[in-house]
Amino acid sequence: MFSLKTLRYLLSGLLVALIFVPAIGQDVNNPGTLVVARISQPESLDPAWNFDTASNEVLKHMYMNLFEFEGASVDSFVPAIAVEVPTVANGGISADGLTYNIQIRDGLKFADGEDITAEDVEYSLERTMIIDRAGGPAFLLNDIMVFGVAFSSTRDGDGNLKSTVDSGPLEGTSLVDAISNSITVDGNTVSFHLVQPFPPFLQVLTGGTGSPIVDTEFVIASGGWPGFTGDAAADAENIAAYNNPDLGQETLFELGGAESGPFTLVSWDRTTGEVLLAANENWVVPSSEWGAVFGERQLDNILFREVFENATRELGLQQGEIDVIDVQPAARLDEIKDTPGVRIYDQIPGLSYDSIHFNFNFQDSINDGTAVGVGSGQLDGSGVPGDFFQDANVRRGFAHAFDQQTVINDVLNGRSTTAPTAVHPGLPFHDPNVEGIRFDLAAATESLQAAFNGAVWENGFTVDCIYNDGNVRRQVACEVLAANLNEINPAFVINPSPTPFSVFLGQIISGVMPLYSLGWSPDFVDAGNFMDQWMTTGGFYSGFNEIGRLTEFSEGGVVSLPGGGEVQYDNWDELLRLAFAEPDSGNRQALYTESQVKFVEATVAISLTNPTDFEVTRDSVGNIIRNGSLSASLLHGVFKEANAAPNCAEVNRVGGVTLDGSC
Amino acid sequence: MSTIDENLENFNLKPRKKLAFLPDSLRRMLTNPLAFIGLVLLVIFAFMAVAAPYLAPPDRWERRYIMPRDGFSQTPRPPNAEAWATFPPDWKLHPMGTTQGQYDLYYGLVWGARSAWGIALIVIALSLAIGLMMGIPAGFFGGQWDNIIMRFTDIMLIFPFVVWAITLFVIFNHPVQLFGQSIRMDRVVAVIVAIVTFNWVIYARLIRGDILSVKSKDFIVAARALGGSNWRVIMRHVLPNAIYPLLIYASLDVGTIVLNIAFLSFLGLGPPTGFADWGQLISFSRQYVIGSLGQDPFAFWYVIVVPGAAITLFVLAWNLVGDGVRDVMDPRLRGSRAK
Amino acid sequence: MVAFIIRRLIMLPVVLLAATMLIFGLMQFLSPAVRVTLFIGQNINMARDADRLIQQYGLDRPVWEQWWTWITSVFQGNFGFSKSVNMPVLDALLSFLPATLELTLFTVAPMLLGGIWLGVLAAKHQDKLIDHLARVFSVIGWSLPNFIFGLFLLMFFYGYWGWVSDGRLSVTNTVGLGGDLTFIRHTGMWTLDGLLNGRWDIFWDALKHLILPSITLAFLTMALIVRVTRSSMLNSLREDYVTTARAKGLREKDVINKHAKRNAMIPVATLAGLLIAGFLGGVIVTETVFNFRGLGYWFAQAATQLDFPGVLGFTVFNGALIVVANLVVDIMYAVIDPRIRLE
Repeated sequence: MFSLKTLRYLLSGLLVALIFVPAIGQDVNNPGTLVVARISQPESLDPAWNFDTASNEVLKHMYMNLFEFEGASVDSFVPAIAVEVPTVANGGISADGLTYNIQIRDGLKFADGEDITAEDVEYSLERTMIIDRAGGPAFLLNDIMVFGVAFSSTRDGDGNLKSTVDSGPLEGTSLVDAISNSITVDGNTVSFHLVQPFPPFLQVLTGGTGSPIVDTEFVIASGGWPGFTGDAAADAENIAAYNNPDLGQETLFELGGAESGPFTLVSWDRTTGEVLLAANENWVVPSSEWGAVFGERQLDNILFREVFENATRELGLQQGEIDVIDVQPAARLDEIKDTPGVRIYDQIPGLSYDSIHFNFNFQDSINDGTAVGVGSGQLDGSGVPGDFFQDANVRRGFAHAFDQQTVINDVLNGRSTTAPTAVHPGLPFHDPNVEGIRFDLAAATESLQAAFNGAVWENGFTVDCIYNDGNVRRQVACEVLAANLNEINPAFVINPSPTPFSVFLGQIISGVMPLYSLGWSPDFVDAGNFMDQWMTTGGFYSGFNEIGRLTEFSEGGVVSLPGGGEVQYDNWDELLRLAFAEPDSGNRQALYTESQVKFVEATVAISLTNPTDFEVTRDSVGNIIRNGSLSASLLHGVFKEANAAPNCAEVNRVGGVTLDGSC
Repeated sequence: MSTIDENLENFNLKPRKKLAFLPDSLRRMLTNPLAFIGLVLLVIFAFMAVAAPYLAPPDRWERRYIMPRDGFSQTPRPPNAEAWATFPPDWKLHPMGTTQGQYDLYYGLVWGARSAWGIALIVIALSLAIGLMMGIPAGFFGGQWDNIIMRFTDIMLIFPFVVWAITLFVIFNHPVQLFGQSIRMDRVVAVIVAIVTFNWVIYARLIRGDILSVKSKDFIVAARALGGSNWRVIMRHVLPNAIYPLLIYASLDVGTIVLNIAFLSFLGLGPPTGFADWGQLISFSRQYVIGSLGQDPFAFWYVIVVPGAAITLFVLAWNLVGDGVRDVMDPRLRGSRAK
Repeated sequence: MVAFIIRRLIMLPVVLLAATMLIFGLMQFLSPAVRVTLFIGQNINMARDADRLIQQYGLDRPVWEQWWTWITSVFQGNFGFSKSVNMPVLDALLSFLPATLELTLFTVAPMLLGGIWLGVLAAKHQDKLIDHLARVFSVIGWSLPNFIFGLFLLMFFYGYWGWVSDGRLSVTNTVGLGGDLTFIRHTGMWTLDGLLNGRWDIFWDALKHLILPSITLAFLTMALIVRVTRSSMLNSLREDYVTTARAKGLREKDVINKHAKRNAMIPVATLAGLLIAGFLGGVIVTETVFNFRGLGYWFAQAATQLDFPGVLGFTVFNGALIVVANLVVDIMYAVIDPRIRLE
């Protein structure tokens, strides 16, 4: 038992200790170590597995790819392991766009001292292709070098490994041959053999998911895929053994030691969510172009930390214990922009895009009773029929009634472009002359009066606008749409309806929701990666929404190309296939402009937001480069000193600013 | 000494007698200042709940539990003194400011009181109903049923409440397969299900224990010997004498239920966004507890204080009343003999 | 008493098995398609593989078959993979346990010291202002959502004064220990490991990081201790031997400390034992706010994402803990109070 007196002493001692707190004002905490606090930690540190932003940001610093983004740019590259960026002009890309020959730089080493060779490049990418984990990055390579279709898989519908290629020009070839022949090595040149022209191929080799270069000997010695042996039977067995591992079973899950990049893995503690990287002593600045953009490596350590609570991350930044943080939601930036010692990089073009999707045919789900949010399932005022959104007047009326600017201003505090179509302003081949559908209640009234020969206006409708629970901007979008439509006709009822993401995803795939809001983040930065999901029968959203039901889909048309001549197309699938495979960028622009015009004319979806990207750091962090394509920062040349100068050249390259006025 | 008194009292106890005993305890509670404060607070909250349509008239009655938004901006707006020119204040002018997403705090406070009482009472009524249905036969008849119920509650009680509530809520927030049908519950219903499925277990055990102790009393034995049907004996003699501790325990659960819903809101579960619920309002303040970072720690004080005070005072009131009730019920604690 | 203990320990696995069956049964409310999309999480590309995954994990098989598969692999030491934290369940348990254990150990002291002190104070001055203040103060701790209190502490001590950071160690030490192979993590509790390795700086740093979370958690749980201490203190102040002691002319201080308090501690001790097994909700919030990763953090992640193996593993672990805690409390009762016999 203790006495009250002891307790009193204890308490007063504690108080004294608390009051005599050490003064802060130290300008640079932990010099040499950059502390990055993110909202989530990596899923896996195996480059063949990685397909999430958090993993990618860490792996970008552990491994090099053949190329790196040119600083903040999302569509120009500097050579890293490659000697130069291939073009048709310098002979690196064949005239038909099917072969890429890339020379590998001499003298680069992995962290364990081994040389980086052309064989390592071949092994690294083929390893991604054969591992092909469910939901992973392998389709980026397999689509264009093996299967010739979008979102391909090495497994059939029952989950069994395919033995032969079942689509595209290589159909009938054994999987082993198709993959092993897709990348070949001659001396120090690696050749990539595509089954169809694919202009954004360098994006795939640069983006980071699935394409970082790992050390063949190290991976094999650690129990990884042994590579192609030339013995077809053994190779097939190996593929089967290493295909689609469970999470945690992939060789490099938490293993480092032979990285090709500027930093090497010291430890990854999944309990605390901390990844500690240290400078890789065997790494040198790979090319002069790299040096010109990123500068020398200056940090000794990078510590990536997962800090879940938003306020806790902010406090770490305020104090200086943490140098770089995620801030959520974006509107919070306006409260912390005047905090002493904080620097915000803002207005960096972002690449994600949200829209409100129409389902063009949900009659089947009404019939079998699985439909969600359709009310009575009839045009009687208390529901919507299955072909409701096949009428262009309905779609157009909805779009005219939607006030995009309110969502952008109120939810994102202006941090978004007003994207007219899925080819938003952050993407190449965005045509600024294509105007989106304006907010105009009179026009909305007119369209909806014409819809279904007046039946819509007379009877009204009731429909749910479904969004993933917790997403504020999609919630507000549904609420704005609901309020405006209700204003022009009280018989128009839209119920904003939150749904857990897991359920939501399932409902998209089974096509049971009439109206819902979700977005797309790029697999690679290209107009096609977005437009295909909205306008083609094989696209993610448009496929499940049965876009083929639209009369506009198969109206066809003619596009005259600036390079001379014109092309004719029968439907949107063909238009976008032509646009995607077109090697000449002038012609590509013409074809993508056509698709954007059609997107607006037919009102394929209600354009919502294209949020701009930002990064929040201490002002003691210099030369940090935010890349919108990665939604991550490149820390290759970061240094820490009191009031460090930001890299304004890179900030301005993409039209960004810093909110402390330094750029 | 006191044992004999109690037995005598029990022997003569009739339901009417029990009721007559209440005003006296109420009077004794009122002389206890803390219990008095607690009661006053509860009366105020009850008034808010009942008078919500007068204090904050909703625009659309059928959406009264959905807090109206004034714009969609994330940044809260401070209280507006002009709104207090009339009584009740005009919530459209934001007498207590708005919180994240421009939900009016005053409206949320008033209707939150109503939903807090409402949900808590529904939860308690349902838990009591199930608990009594399971617990009375177990206590009165014993045997196999008693065994089944007790073993089941043994299993339930190894779940900490939060584990049970979160898991159940998340499950029932998805479409569930019931009798071959796919049913999507409202989130409020899911909250109620999550709490009721746990609470009834405790109530069932309590009533069972109380019935066991009452059952062996002479007057029950006498009633059964006189040939009263089981049903009649239970309703007329056992229950009236056994149910009071449970009723008191259950009524004091109101505060806890409100806290538990707030806890679910903290995890992003609980009632849907925009539902007038203190727990949700308080979880909206999560970003703003730290003020505007590094400049003014109390820049958004109203976002925390309004729902924080509501929850704290509500739970505090129940605790004070609970302490008061216990002091009254336990005569050993009555009066001051400590000094 | 030995027979009693053995009987209770035999019941333990039976109850735990039944609890896992209950959870399996509850999961059957969800269709295989929903369960597989829960597994997929936010990965849109993986959604294409949904049907394959249902096959792969046998989600469409009858519930008893799934349960049997699970239970046989458990007996082979495999509790499955907790997707919410990317770890096998057993690894997750072992690696999250030390933080929570450390936090709990350091919470017990302020909780008991503060709670008993306030409780005794309140009892001594029953119905006086001090009594009222003590009770209101402790109930506020219990009813104020404790992330507010935690964030307030963190705002001043971290954001403004820089006295401590979030997490369990400062960045300097995290980086310093990252590649340090000479520092052996015997227990996973930094304070203890610091001492065992003779690293006073680590010990002190870890201790500093424990202070705010344990105060937050103690403030939350103190109310119950205050309440029980107060009422059992009031009880024992009325016992005959206390009256006798007073009558003998002992000083009031000695009466309270030597006679009344000792007996009043029995229910407090048992309550404290139960509290420690049961203050999970507070642990979840505290660990989240202070980024102090332990079991609470893991459980919150697992449950909100319905990470099924994680929830099951946690239930088994926590269930065992509660049953054992109850057993210990019962035994303690019998030891303290010889009138109680365990049957």
